[in-house]
Amino acid sequence: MKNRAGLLLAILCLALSACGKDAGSMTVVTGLGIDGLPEDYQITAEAIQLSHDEEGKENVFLHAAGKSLSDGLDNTVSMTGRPLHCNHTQVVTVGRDLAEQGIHAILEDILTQSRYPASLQMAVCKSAASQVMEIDPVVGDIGSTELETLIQQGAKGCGNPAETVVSFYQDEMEPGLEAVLPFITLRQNGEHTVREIAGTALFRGDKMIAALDRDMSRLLLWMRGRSGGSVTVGGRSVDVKRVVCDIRAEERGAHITLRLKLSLRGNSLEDGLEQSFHREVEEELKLLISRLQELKCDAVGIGKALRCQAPKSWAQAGEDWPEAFSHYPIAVAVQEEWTEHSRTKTASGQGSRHE
Amino acid sequence: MSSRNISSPLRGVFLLMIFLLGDMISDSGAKGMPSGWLIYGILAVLAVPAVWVFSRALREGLLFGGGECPASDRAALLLLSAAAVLIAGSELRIFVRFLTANELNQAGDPGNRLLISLVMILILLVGQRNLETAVWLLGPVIMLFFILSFCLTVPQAKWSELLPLAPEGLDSLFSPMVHSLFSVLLLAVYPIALSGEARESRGWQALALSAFCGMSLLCGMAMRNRLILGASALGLFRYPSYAAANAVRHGEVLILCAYVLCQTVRLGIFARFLQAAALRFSYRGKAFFPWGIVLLVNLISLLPFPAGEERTAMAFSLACGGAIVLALLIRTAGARISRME
Repeated sequence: MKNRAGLLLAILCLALSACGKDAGSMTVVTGLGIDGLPEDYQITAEAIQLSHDEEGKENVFLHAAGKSLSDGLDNTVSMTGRPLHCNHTQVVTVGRDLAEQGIHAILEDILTQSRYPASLQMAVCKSAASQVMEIDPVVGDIGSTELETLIQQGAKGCGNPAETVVSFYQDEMEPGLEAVLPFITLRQNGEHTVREIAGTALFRGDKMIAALDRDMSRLLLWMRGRSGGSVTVGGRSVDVKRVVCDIRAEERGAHITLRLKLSLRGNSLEDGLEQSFHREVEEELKLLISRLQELKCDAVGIGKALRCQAPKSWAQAGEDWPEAFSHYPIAVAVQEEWTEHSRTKTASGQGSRHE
Repeated sequence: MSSRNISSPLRGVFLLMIFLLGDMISDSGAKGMPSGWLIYGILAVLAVPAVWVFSRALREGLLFGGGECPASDRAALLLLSAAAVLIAGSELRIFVRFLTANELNQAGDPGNRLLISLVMILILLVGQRNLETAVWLLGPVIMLFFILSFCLTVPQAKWSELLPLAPEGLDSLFSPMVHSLFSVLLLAVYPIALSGEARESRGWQALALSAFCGMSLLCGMAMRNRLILGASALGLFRYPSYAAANAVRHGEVLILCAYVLCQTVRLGIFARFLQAAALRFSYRGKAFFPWGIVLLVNLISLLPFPAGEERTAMAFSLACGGAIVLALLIRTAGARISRME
């Protein structure tokens, strides 16, 4: 019996030894900012020096240059004398200049190193990432935590996307779909400068090409299958409970119909207002698709739908999909389902072709 | 139920299952592939006949048979022991590298090696029955960690990632399937040889169920990895199961605990097999066997195993698997000849 207990205890001790770090000697990275150019990155790391005494916890900003993200982080050892623990990093931001040059190398560096968590959020900054990272948080002590909360809360309201490094990489590698990231700007709030999620950064491949504001971002995210947020109709706020985006390719793939079904809940509206809302959404959808076609950026996933539904058409168009997408005939139809107390009614448009 | 009342098949169920689950963490074989779950699903089905074959070959007690050890058994034991020591060395190397690379403790390479070696020695000192009891008690805890880890990550799953089923093409599934067959399923020979069930007439059924459950869990884990990490990114991760569990902050702790427990048992089973095989040859100096075995496994683990390259890892698995298959053939042929005589 003693042997048995001893064996169990030993195995369990080995399991628990994984948690046996000395917290007082750890420098934990909570957020990373990356600027510079490919192979000449400027890294800003927000790090916390943990200590046994809670009051001794301090966050510091470390700056280093490196040929890759990992190289830059390793170079910070020369400043701190101790390695950085990145397992709890919450957010990595990239400056716009670098994002426009391409971020594939950064993604592969993060994914192939087992030092970063898979839940790591990613965002693009309008200005330098170091500047955004070093802004004092409005509430709390840790700027990266606040930034991550901003992204997550914004995503709940469909004002911006929330993408982990893994999900961004998946979208980047998916034929017929372009990746997106939240877009962060700085804003003056009284005497202080604060961070704000301004919308969505659009990518073609791994290069950022443009940014959308929050209203356009909401429409884009609905088309990408996200639900949530609210819209103002005639001065009244209406919650968007559920969004179904159905993208259908015609049998021969000659054109695509994008049908957006919105389940809305709010106070009762006059029929005129509901129709004007319907027209407004449809117009904005057309405008957004027109903008995306102009940018040759299929952030909606039209190509992905074409690939699944009309493989022959995709075989032709998919060779240079951004170019083919820019003049692909896409018809848009919006359908709303209003729910208010015990009332449910459906309003749908005829759908108009937008070429 | 008191551990003293555990029936023999129940012990076998957890021992073999936990042994197989020790393979969960590295990206070798099919786990690093988008269609890895499909391969593990096929292997789960193949596990039932495989266990029947292994049980038949080992039925008459390879390790614990009384009397003099026949020549065919000696040859089979030598081959199985050679494969066991090489695989145990390789597994120890992966285990230590995983703990150190992920900074899971501050013991470093030598500290982790020492910790694991001490547990292996303890397993060798306490004997087979106590190991089975410990595994019987730990089994439900490990299952709980698995289920919790799955449940936590389900909301993060992108179900569309499951299609197409085999993006690499069906023809490219053969090589990783052979690799996984040799590096995972074939190794079930060791716990089966150690367990008493193989010697019982209907004991193989409990073992087959155990192997099926173990391989099905690995299949589920490979599927979860693909749903979380995506088919395109899956191949980039050195430890896909750990990375997928990490999609929920601190969720990796569950898989980490399950892996540490499973891998310790796995190494313990290899060491127990080597100890039992050594005792079959000689009782002289048996007090030093545990220390000698653990030292040997450590020395083997220090050799430059080609774990990183798929082709050389495949060659290593094929060589070890070939030795196991040859040992089983020799054993079966020897038993048949002795019956005819």
